[in-house]
Amino acid sequence: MTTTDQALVRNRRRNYRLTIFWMMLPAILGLAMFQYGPLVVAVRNGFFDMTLLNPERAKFIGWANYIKMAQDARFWQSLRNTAIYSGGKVLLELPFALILAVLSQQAIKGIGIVRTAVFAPTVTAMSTMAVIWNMMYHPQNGLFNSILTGVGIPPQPFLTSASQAMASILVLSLWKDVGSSMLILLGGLQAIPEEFYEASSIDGAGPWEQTRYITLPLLRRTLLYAMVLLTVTSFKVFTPIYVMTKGGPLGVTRTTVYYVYELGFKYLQMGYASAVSVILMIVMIVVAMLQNRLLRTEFEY
Amino acid sequence: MAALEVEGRDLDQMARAVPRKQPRSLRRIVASVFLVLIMIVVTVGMLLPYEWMFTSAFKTDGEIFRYAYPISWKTFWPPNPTLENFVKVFRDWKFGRNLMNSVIAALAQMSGTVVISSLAAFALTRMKWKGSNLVFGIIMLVALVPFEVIMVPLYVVVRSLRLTRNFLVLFVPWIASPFGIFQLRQAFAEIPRDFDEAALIEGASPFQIFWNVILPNTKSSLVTLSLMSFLWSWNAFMWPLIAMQDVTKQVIQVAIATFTLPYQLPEWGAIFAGATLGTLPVLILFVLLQRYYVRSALMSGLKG
Repeated sequence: MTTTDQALVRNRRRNYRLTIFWMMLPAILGLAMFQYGPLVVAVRNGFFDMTLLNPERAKFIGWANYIKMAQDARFWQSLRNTAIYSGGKVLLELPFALILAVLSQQAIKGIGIVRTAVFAPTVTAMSTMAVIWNMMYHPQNGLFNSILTGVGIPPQPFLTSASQAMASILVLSLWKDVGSSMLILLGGLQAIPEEFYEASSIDGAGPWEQTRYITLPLLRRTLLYAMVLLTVTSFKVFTPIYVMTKGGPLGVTRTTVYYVYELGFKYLQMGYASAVSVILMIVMIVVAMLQNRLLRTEFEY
Repeated sequence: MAALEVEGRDLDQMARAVPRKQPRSLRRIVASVFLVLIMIVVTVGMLLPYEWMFTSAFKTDGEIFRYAYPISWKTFWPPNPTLENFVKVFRDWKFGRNLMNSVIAALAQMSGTVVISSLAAFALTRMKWKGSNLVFGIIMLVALVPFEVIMVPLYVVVRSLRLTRNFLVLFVPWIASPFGIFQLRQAFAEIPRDFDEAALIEGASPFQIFWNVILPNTKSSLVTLSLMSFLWSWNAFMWPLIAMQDVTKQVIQVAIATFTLPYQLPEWGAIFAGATLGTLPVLILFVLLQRYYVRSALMSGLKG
């Protein structure tokens, strides 16, 4: 090899590296600035007493924010509300999603319309749908109470009542999200080999037996996967709370993310808000890991 | 993951008839009537909020309240349709501005995400360098961090950059997307390596391979990512609510939601009209691009 050849190779290598550098740079820069940076800052701020108005005058206070949290009744209430919401969401949405997935697998005329109708709410914005549902739930002029009184049931207070507010929000988010869960389960149903159904049909199994002994056991992994996803997303609920109840009445719909929002942007307690969000993240990771242990199953087909 | 295996398949191909030979008995007829009934109930239930929203947008406030009780066809249909509400949202509420802001922000976020993700995905899949797997791992780690956890410090970041009255704040923080990189990395990895090598022999540079070989062969993934990032941006609420402090640059979703307050009775007709304007475009997009939407829904399911 002559020296010019070596120079050429070196040059090409340098260009190759430069191409990689420039291709990766925007992604890395963006993520570092807007995702990793703030995450590090969130963890750091959790140890400071600072307000949003002048974050420069922050004071290091060690674990004080975390100690305060342990004694903060509102924080514990928000965790409980989040757990109620997430538990309710999983228990409501998975069965509905499964029924809809099985239903939409049937080859019946018009099933495409049903599928489109179930998916539609997943495309439209939660904020706007919460505005509409807020009006549907309106005690005096809402659609639900028109329908209820139409069939002879007394009007309900819905969002204005401490006992019905969370349930009302759950029904909205079931309507909004059931399509996504259904889609995941539909994916799982597709993966079950056709022959299983054919063979069991020959053996005389009806639809009920097939659901019980083929579909459900083989869908276990997908169901658990859908459950983990659903739990993690439920932990982050904010928009319907902000639009419909602002955490009320009596704080029964104040979820942890809504509490973080209040702390940060209403009370301007940035340090404390960051500490609460760090704990929220840890709780989410722990719950996801616990559910993931359930996911680990030897069963394959 | 089993769920991903439906990727790219048409919704209608997903329906599968389980062949069962049964006589046309009374039981079977009852069962199918029951099934059709369930289908109707589900469809009506899912579409009812939209129906109420669309039709009430053409009623006056007085009519909306008057026809709430007793329930009749007038609850679900405007007896004297009027465009008054739409005039009001455009004239008094300046919704045209909010709509434009949403369109521009969503298009900007969409193109930014597609460009940045495809460049990074190419470098990660088609170029050999030490540490590429490690870098990908670090990128994906961020996908586990929910936005809600970093929102307060992120707000401080954009404020210190003096962006809270700048249009850029709506989309710049989100264009570098771990999900976009993940999705395109999967798609790029599926293209056979022979394609690159053939181009390399002809003396193509990596960027030429990217542009002439990889991109044309991953069109459907690029469309899916575009649709997904457009919808994320269009439907975003919490971030624009927090970060955008100039009402003239606010997006449509925040504009719709901030006109209602809990337990109050604002101008319902105008809200219905505004909500219709914010919802109709995505519903139309959805119906037109349903095939791509199925993929994107699965991906955003992964997003969590």
